[in-house]
Amino acid sequence: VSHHLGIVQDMGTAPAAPTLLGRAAFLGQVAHLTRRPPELPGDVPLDLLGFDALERYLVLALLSSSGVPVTEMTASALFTLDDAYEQYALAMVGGP
Amino acid sequence: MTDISTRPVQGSMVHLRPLMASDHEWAELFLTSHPLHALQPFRGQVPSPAGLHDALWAGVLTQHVVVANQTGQGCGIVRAHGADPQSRSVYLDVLLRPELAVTGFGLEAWFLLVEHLFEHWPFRTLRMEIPEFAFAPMASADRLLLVDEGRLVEHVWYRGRYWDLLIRSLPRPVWEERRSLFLPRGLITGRGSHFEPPTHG
Repeated sequence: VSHHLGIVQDMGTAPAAPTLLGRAAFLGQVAHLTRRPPELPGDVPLDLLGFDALERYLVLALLSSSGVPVTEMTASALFTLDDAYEQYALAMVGGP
Repeated sequence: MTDISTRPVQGSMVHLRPLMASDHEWAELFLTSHPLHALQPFRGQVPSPAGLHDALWAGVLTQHVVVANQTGQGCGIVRAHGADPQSRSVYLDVLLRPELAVTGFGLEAWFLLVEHLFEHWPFRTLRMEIPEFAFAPMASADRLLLVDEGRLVEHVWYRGRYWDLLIRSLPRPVWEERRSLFLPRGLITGRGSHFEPPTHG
Protein backbone atom coordinates (compact mmCIF):
# COMPACT_ATOMS: atom_id res chain seq x y z
CA VAL A 1 0.00 0.00 0.00
CA SER A 2 1.42 3.31 -1.03
CA HIS A 3 1.21 6.12 1.45
CA HIS A 4 2.01 8.81 -1.02
CA LEU A 5 -0.22 11.55 -2.20
CA GLY A 6 0.80 10.54 -5.68
CA ILE A 7 -2.56 8.85 -6.02
CA VAL A 8 -4.18 12.23 -6.36
CA GLN A 9 -2.87 12.46 -9.88
CA ASP A 10 -5.88 10.40 -10.85
CA MET A 11 -8.33 12.71 -9.19
CA GLY A 12 -8.04 15.13 -12.06
CA THR A 13 -9.87 12.66 -14.23
CA ALA A 14 -12.42 11.60 -11.63
CA PRO A 15 -15.93 12.75 -12.48
CA ALA A 16 -16.41 13.88 -8.91
CA ALA A 17 -13.47 16.25 -9.02
CA PRO A 18 -13.78 18.33 -12.15
CA THR A 19 -12.20 21.38 -10.60
CA LEU A 20 -8.89 19.80 -9.70
CA LEU A 21 -6.06 20.91 -11.87
CA GLY A 22 -4.02 17.80 -11.36
CA ARG A 23 -1.40 16.36 -9.15
CA ALA A 24 1.22 19.10 -9.31
CA ALA A 25 -1.31 21.82 -8.56
CA PHE A 26 -2.78 19.79 -5.74
CA LEU A 27 0.59 19.11 -4.17
CA GLY A 28 1.41 22.76 -4.50
CA GLN A 29 -1.74 23.67 -2.63
CA VAL A 30 -1.01 21.12 0.08
CA ALA A 31 2.48 22.53 0.51
CA HIS A 32 1.07 26.04 0.64
CA LEU A 33 -1.67 25.23 3.14
CA THR A 34 0.55 23.25 5.44
CA ARG A 35 3.34 25.79 5.06
CA ARG A 36 5.76 23.05 4.29
CA PRO A 37 8.64 23.72 1.95
CA PRO A 38 7.57 22.25 -1.38
CA GLU A 39 9.13 18.89 -2.09
CA LEU A 40 8.78 19.71 -5.72
CA PRO A 41 10.19 20.12 -8.37
CA GLY A 42 9.88 16.83 -10.01
CA ASP A 43 7.64 14.04 -9.01
CA VAL A 44 8.72 13.67 -5.44
CA PRO A 45 5.48 12.94 -3.59
CA LEU A 46 4.49 14.45 -0.30
CA ASP A 47 4.45 11.67 2.23
CA LEU A 48 1.34 11.62 4.39
CA LEU A 49 3.14 9.50 6.95
CA GLY A 50 5.05 12.62 7.87
CA PHE A 51 1.86 14.60 8.39
CA ASP A 52 0.34 14.98 11.80
CA ALA A 53 -3.42 14.98 12.40
CA LEU A 54 -3.77 18.71 11.88
CA GLU A 55 -2.03 18.60 8.51
CA ARG A 56 -4.18 15.65 7.42
CA TYR A 57 -7.25 17.61 8.48
CA LEU A 58 -6.11 20.39 6.14
CA VAL A 59 -5.67 17.91 3.29
CA LEU A 60 -9.19 16.67 3.96
CA ALA A 61 -10.50 20.22 3.89
CA LEU A 62 -8.67 20.90 0.65
CA LEU A 63 -10.11 17.79 -0.96
CA SER A 64 -13.56 18.88 0.11
CA SER A 65 -13.21 22.43 -1.13
CA SER A 66 -11.80 21.09 -4.41
CA GLY A 67 -15.04 19.27 -5.07
CA VAL A 68 -14.02 15.77 -4.04
CA PRO A 69 -16.83 14.05 -2.12
CA VAL A 70 -15.23 13.18 1.19
CA THR A 71 -16.87 10.36 3.09
CA GLU A 72 -16.33 8.72 6.44
CA MET A 73 -14.26 6.02 4.76
CA THR A 74 -11.93 8.44 3.07
CA ALA A 75 -11.65 10.60 6.15
CA SER A 76 -10.91 7.64 8.37
CA ALA A 77 -8.37 6.29 5.93
CA LEU A 78 -6.67 9.65 5.67
CA PHE A 79 -6.27 9.96 9.41
CA THR A 80 -5.26 6.40 10.23
CA LEU A 81 -3.22 5.51 7.13
CA ASP A 82 -4.07 1.90 7.79
CA ASP A 83 -5.16 -0.73 5.31
CA ALA A 84 -8.20 1.37 4.50
CA TYR A 85 -5.84 3.77 2.76
CA GLU A 86 -6.03 1.57 -0.30
CA GLN A 87 -9.80 2.04 -0.28
CA TYR A 88 -9.19 5.74 0.09
CA ALA A 89 -7.07 5.70 -3.02
CA LEU A 90 -9.75 3.80 -4.90
CA ALA A 91 -12.40 6.19 -3.71
CA MET A 92 -10.36 9.13 -4.88
CA VAL A 93 -10.35 7.81 -8.42
CA GLY A 94 -14.06 7.21 -8.39
CA GLY A 95 -14.45 3.59 -7.38
CA PRO A 96 -15.29 0.97 -6.50
CA MET B 1 -30.27 11.77 18.36
CA THR B 2 -30.05 15.48 19.02
CA ASP B 3 -32.55 17.48 17.05
CA ILE B 4 -30.79 19.76 14.61
CA SER B 5 -32.73 22.76 15.87
CA THR B 6 -31.06 22.40 19.26
CA ARG B 7 -27.51 22.42 17.92
CA PRO B 8 -25.90 25.71 18.84
CA VAL B 9 -22.57 25.02 17.17
CA GLN B 10 -22.77 22.77 14.13
CA GLY B 11 -19.89 21.22 12.22
CA SER B 12 -19.71 18.64 9.49
CA MET B 13 -18.56 15.76 11.66
CA VAL B 14 -19.60 16.86 15.12
CA HIS B 15 -21.69 19.45 16.87
CA LEU B 16 -21.35 21.05 20.25
CA ARG B 17 -24.20 21.25 22.71
CA PRO B 18 -24.12 22.76 26.19
CA LEU B 19 -23.10 20.51 29.06
CA MET B 20 -26.27 20.20 31.12
CA ALA B 21 -27.10 19.03 34.61
CA SER B 22 -28.23 15.68 33.23
CA ASP B 23 -24.71 15.20 31.80
CA HIS B 24 -22.89 15.57 35.10
CA GLU B 25 -22.60 11.88 35.96
CA TRP B 26 -21.48 11.05 32.43
CA ALA B 27 -18.99 13.94 32.55
CA GLU B 28 -17.52 12.65 35.81
CA LEU B 29 -17.09 9.16 34.39
CA PHE B 30 -15.63 10.55 31.18
CA LEU B 31 -13.21 12.95 32.84
CA THR B 32 -11.97 10.33 35.27
CA SER B 33 -11.29 7.77 32.51
CA HIS B 34 -7.78 6.96 31.37
CA PRO B 35 -5.86 9.02 30.26
CA LEU B 36 -8.08 12.10 30.59
CA HIS B 37 -8.05 11.85 34.37
CA ALA B 38 -4.52 13.25 34.36
CA LEU B 39 -5.69 16.47 32.71
CA GLN B 40 -7.84 19.43 33.66
CA PRO B 41 -10.21 19.77 35.39
CA PHE B 42 -9.70 16.90 37.82
CA ARG B 43 -5.95 16.17 37.55
CA GLY B 44 -6.35 12.76 39.17
CA GLN B 45 -8.88 13.78 41.77
CA VAL B 46 -12.38 12.41 42.08
CA PRO B 47 -14.66 15.16 43.31
CA SER B 48 -17.12 14.38 46.03
CA PRO B 49 -20.74 14.02 44.93
CA ALA B 50 -21.53 17.26 46.73
CA GLY B 51 -18.62 19.02 45.07
CA LEU B 52 -19.11 17.71 41.54
CA HIS B 53 -20.98 20.76 40.29
CA ASP B 54 -18.31 23.16 41.48
CA ALA B 55 -15.54 20.90 40.19
CA LEU B 56 -17.07 20.92 36.74
CA TRP B 57 -17.98 24.58 36.59
CA ALA B 58 -15.43 26.56 38.63
CA GLY B 59 -14.16 29.39 36.45
CA VAL B 60 -15.90 28.04 33.36
CA LEU B 61 -17.17 30.46 30.73
CA THR B 62 -18.67 27.90 28.37
CA GLN B 63 -18.61 24.11 28.29
CA HIS B 64 -19.94 21.79 25.59
CA VAL B 65 -20.37 18.11 24.92
CA VAL B 66 -18.87 17.09 21.56
CA VAL B 67 -21.49 14.95 19.82
CA ALA B 68 -20.96 12.89 16.66
CA ASN B 69 -23.49 14.01 14.07
CA GLN B 70 -24.25 10.55 12.75
CA THR B 71 -24.40 8.46 15.90
CA GLY B 72 -25.34 11.05 18.50
CA GLN B 73 -22.55 9.62 20.64
CA GLY B 74 -20.78 11.87 23.12
CA CYS B 75 -17.16 12.06 21.97
CA GLY B 76 -15.74 14.49 24.45
CA ILE B 77 -15.92 17.84 26.16
CA VAL B 78 -14.59 21.22 25.09
CA ARG B 79 -14.50 24.08 27.54
CA ALA B 80 -13.36 27.64 28.01
CA HIS B 81 -12.33 28.81 31.45
CA GLY B 82 -10.26 31.39 33.24
CA ALA B 83 -11.52 34.31 31.17
CA ASP B 84 -9.54 37.47 31.90
CA PRO B 85 -11.37 40.69 30.98
CA GLN B 86 -8.19 42.79 31.30
CA SER B 87 -6.11 40.85 28.82
CA ARG B 88 -9.24 39.70 26.95
CA SER B 89 -8.03 36.13 26.93
CA VAL B 90 -9.45 32.77 27.93
CA TYR B 91 -8.14 29.22 28.29
CA LEU B 92 -9.39 26.31 26.18
CA ASP B 93 -9.49 22.61 26.96
CA VAL B 94 -10.22 19.91 24.39
CA LEU B 95 -10.90 16.54 26.01
CA LEU B 96 -11.68 13.72 23.61
CA ARG B 97 -12.12 9.98 23.78
CA PRO B 98 -8.58 8.61 23.30
CA GLU B 99 -9.48 6.53 20.25
CA LEU B 100 -10.63 9.72 18.52
CA ALA B 101 -7.59 11.77 19.44
CA VAL B 102 -6.05 11.63 15.98
CA THR B 103 -9.23 11.89 13.94
CA GLY B 104 -10.92 14.96 12.59
CA PHE B 105 -13.50 14.92 15.38
CA GLY B 106 -11.34 16.60 17.98
CA LEU B 107 -9.89 19.09 15.56
CA GLU B 108 -13.30 20.14 14.30
CA ALA B 109 -14.61 20.41 17.87
CA TRP B 110 -11.62 22.58 18.74
CA PHE B 111 -12.21 24.88 15.77
CA LEU B 112 -15.95 25.10 16.49
CA LEU B 113 -15.20 26.24 20.04
CA VAL B 114 -12.66 28.77 18.78
CA GLU B 115 -15.23 30.14 16.35
CA HIS B 116 -17.87 30.29 19.08
CA LEU B 117 -15.59 32.19 21.45
CA PHE B 118 -14.38 34.76 18.95
CA GLU B 119 -17.93 35.25 17.71
CA HIS B 120 -19.52 35.89 21.08
CA TRP B 121 -16.80 37.71 23.03
CA PRO B 122 -14.22 40.32 22.08
CA PHE B 123 -11.30 38.13 23.10
CA ARG B 124 -7.91 39.12 21.76
CA THR B 125 -6.42 35.67 22.17
CA LEU B 126 -7.27 32.13 23.24
CA ARG B 127 -4.77 30.12 25.27
CA MET B 128 -4.15 26.42 25.69
CA GLU B 129 -2.00 24.56 28.18
CA ILE B 130 -1.02 21.27 26.57
CA PRO B 131 1.00 18.50 28.24
CA GLU B 132 3.85 17.63 25.91
CA PHE B 133 2.69 14.01 25.68
CA ALA B 134 -0.55 15.22 24.06
CA PHE B 135 0.99 17.64 21.58
CA ALA B 136 2.47 15.28 18.96
CA PRO B 137 -0.73 14.81 16.89
CA MET B 138 -1.00 18.55 16.44
CA ALA B 139 2.62 19.68 16.50
CA SER B 140 2.22 21.39 13.13
CA ALA B 141 -0.09 23.86 14.87
CA ASP B 142 3.07 25.71 15.88
CA ARG B 143 3.66 26.39 12.19
CA LEU B 144 0.06 26.80 11.10
CA LEU B 145 -1.97 28.44 13.82
CA LEU B 146 -0.57 28.79 17.32
CA VAL B 147 1.94 31.11 18.96
CA ASP B 148 4.51 29.50 21.23
CA GLU B 149 4.34 31.33 24.55
CA GLY B 150 6.69 29.07 26.41
CA ARG B 151 6.57 26.08 28.69
CA LEU B 152 6.42 25.17 32.32
CA VAL B 153 9.27 22.71 32.67
CA GLU B 154 8.43 19.36 34.28
CA HIS B 155 5.08 20.65 35.47
CA VAL B 156 2.77 17.68 34.92
CA TRP B 157 3.24 14.37 36.73
CA TYR B 158 1.87 11.51 34.66
CA ARG B 159 2.69 7.82 34.42
CA GLY B 160 5.78 7.92 36.56
CA ARG B 161 7.52 11.01 35.25
CA TYR B 162 7.26 14.76 34.90
CA TRP B 163 6.28 16.31 31.57
CA ASP B 164 6.54 19.88 30.36
CA LEU B 165 3.36 21.92 30.03
CA LEU B 166 3.33 23.78 26.72
CA ILE B 167 1.62 27.17 26.57
CA ARG B 168 0.18 28.18 23.22
CA SER B 169 -2.08 31.00 22.09
CA LEU B 170 -4.30 31.66 19.12
CA PRO B 171 -4.60 35.42 18.44
CA ARG B 172 -7.80 36.66 16.83
CA PRO B 173 -6.08 38.04 13.68
CA VAL B 174 -4.48 34.65 12.98
CA TRP B 175 -7.83 32.90 13.27
CA GLU B 176 -9.58 35.46 11.10
CA GLU B 177 -6.96 34.96 8.43
CA ARG B 178 -7.07 31.15 8.47
CA ARG B 179 -10.54 30.18 9.66
CA SER B 180 -11.86 29.39 6.20
CA LEU B 181 -9.14 26.76 5.83
CA PHE B 182 -9.94 25.01 9.06
CA LEU B 183 -13.73 25.28 8.94
CA PRO B 184 -14.55 24.95 5.24
CA ARG B 185 -18.13 24.63 4.23
CA GLY B 186 -19.13 21.24 2.96
CA LEU B 187 -16.45 19.14 4.63
CA ILE B 188 -17.55 15.54 4.74
CA THR B 189 -20.89 15.86 3.09
CA GLY B 190 -20.25 13.39 0.31
CA ARG B 191 -22.74 10.79 -0.77
CA GLY B 192 -22.83 7.89 1.61
CA SER B 193 -21.10 9.77 4.37
CA HIS B 194 -21.70 8.40 7.82
CA PHE B 195 -21.17 11.90 9.11
CA GLU B 196 -24.12 13.46 7.36
CA PRO B 197 -26.45 15.10 9.83
CA PRO B 198 -29.80 13.38 10.12
CA THR B 199 -32.65 14.95 8.26
CA HIS B 200 -35.73 15.90 10.14
CA GLY B 201 -38.98 16.07 8.39
